Amino acid sequence: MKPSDLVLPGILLVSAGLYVWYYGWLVLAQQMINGLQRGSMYALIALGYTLVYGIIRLINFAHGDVFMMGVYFACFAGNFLLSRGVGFAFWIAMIVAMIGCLLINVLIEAVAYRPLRDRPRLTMLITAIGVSLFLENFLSLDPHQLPFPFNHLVFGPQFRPFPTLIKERVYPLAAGLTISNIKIIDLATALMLMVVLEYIVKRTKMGKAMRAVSYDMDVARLMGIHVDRIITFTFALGGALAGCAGILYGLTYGVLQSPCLGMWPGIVAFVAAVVGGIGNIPGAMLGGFLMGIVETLAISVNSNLGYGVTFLILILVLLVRPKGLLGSPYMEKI
Amino acid sequence: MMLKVCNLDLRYQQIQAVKGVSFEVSKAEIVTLLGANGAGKSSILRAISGLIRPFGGEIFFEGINITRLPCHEIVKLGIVHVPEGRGIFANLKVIENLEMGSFLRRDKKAVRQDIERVFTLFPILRQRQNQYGATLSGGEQQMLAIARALVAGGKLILLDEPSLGLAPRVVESIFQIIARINREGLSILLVEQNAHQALEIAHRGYILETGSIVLADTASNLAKNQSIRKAYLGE
Ligand SMILES: Nc1ncnc2c1ncn2[C@@H]1O[C@H](COP(=O)(O)OP(=O)(O)O)[C@@H](O)[C@H]1O
Ligand SMILES: [Mg+2]
Repeated sequence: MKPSDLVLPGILLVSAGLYVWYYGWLVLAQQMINGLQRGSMYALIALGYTLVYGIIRLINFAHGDVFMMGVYFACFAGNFLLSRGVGFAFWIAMIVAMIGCLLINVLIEAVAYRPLRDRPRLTMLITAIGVSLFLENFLSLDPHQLPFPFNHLVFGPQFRPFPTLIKERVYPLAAGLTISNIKIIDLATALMLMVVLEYIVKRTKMGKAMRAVSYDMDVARLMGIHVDRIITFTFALGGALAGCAGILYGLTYGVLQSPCLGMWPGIVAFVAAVVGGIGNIPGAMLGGFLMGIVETLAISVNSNLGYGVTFLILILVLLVRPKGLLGSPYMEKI
Repeated sequence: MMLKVCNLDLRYQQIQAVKGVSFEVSKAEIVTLLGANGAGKSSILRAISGLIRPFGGEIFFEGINITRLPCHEIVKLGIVHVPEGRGIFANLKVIENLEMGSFLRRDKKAVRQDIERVFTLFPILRQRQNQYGATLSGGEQQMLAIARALVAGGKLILLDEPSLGLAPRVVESIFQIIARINREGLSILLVEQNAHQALEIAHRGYILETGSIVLADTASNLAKNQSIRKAYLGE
């Protein structure tokens, strides 16, 4: 334990103390509950960053946009299912969003990243930014100038309402605190997927092969591991988690703002992955919840404070503990 | 003929690492490839197992041209490569390392028997089976690397400097085990700088100098050869 390791916990504790002094314990508790909800989405997205970084050392800057596609898939699937009066619409839409994002992420890897695997690392990083801009701008195309059928549904930068897949109900807890069914669903879904992910990575043959590839790709090849398939599998996992975050986002906020809605959550989740220790799976979960809580608290003080605080934490972590709270298994610079 | 390497040419960008190398390994034979640091030994093994693509030449395994096959298919045919520096997955447990060694095998029962067999061969690995690879000593890692190759169920094992960085006593026991698994029927291509130990257990040997084979003979003849004794046995 170095003295610098105390900087971040210290700052967080002092800020929480000031918050309590100003707003009181109850407000802090309520905002923490709200923050856990936001954090569940960030954690799911952050896992995608960390999984991909672990396997090919790429910060996949398009990941926030894969999450955005998840909101789209969920929105369209949800509208369709509701219009047909299908039961369990939320859960079906969740599966659609997860599979949709899984396929998109696998496609992005195969088309954009795989051909660049032997190039300098920066090439892939810049390509990831390119993929991100492509997705955002492609979906923002003016629908009136496109000949496709249904183009008015899919394309265009405009705001869309997200279908009410589950009606929000608010339940009182002790001392005036409240929780809602949607908060419970967000948190429970995220936690459940994390357990599933932990099981896949720790216990299954594919998961063990993922860890082997992440440690040494060439030696993994010598074991007979088909490395390309493991990388595809990793992108599939990350995509599915982002898709789930996408439907939770739609459910929680009830809107699909624009094709750029994934940008900010993508950035926060990236910061969360770095804060937890990039490449470290429990680290991404912890970082996600932490960033969710911190951002919620900051926004409750002033609605513009979230942005600054997020980057402040990134800078602080990179300054005082670059390998993240739980430690990154990788020594190289990010 | 089990392995046949013909006229192998290996390059890294412009640098020629290996040129015109040809050699063979027969069934149940230990063949050693001796050479100083940088002679091109590891590159040859990496080309055989498919990690690098040859610039020229051909490699045949049991009559099949494997020159352009991907790694996992070469492993499936029965070539197992234990890389220089052992290549243990430090972030996986000993038992998980062994599972990775048997990654392509579907015969679960036989795999379990093979794991049991390597645990009898290396009792220390049984004790350490739930420890992470990172916690093993150098000697234990080398044992694990060989054990992991054995559970792959291959026919030919490529060993890249198994004596590297190990104490003489450990080297002795590792080489005895190599001789033993060979007597049980496996072919071995042993790359070494430690010519003394290698020639003791090998049947035949090749001397590699800056990317070319300069001498090929039986191990006993090589051990007697004056110039070899000077260059590699420190006499
Ligand atoms: N990845 C690489 N890139 C460029 N040159 C390499 C690479 N690997 C090996 N070489 C060069 O190829 C030659 C043979 O290396 P190597 O096969 O490792 O020899 P050995 O195993 O006999 O020590 C050396 O000159 C080495 O510098
Ligand atoms: Mg070498």
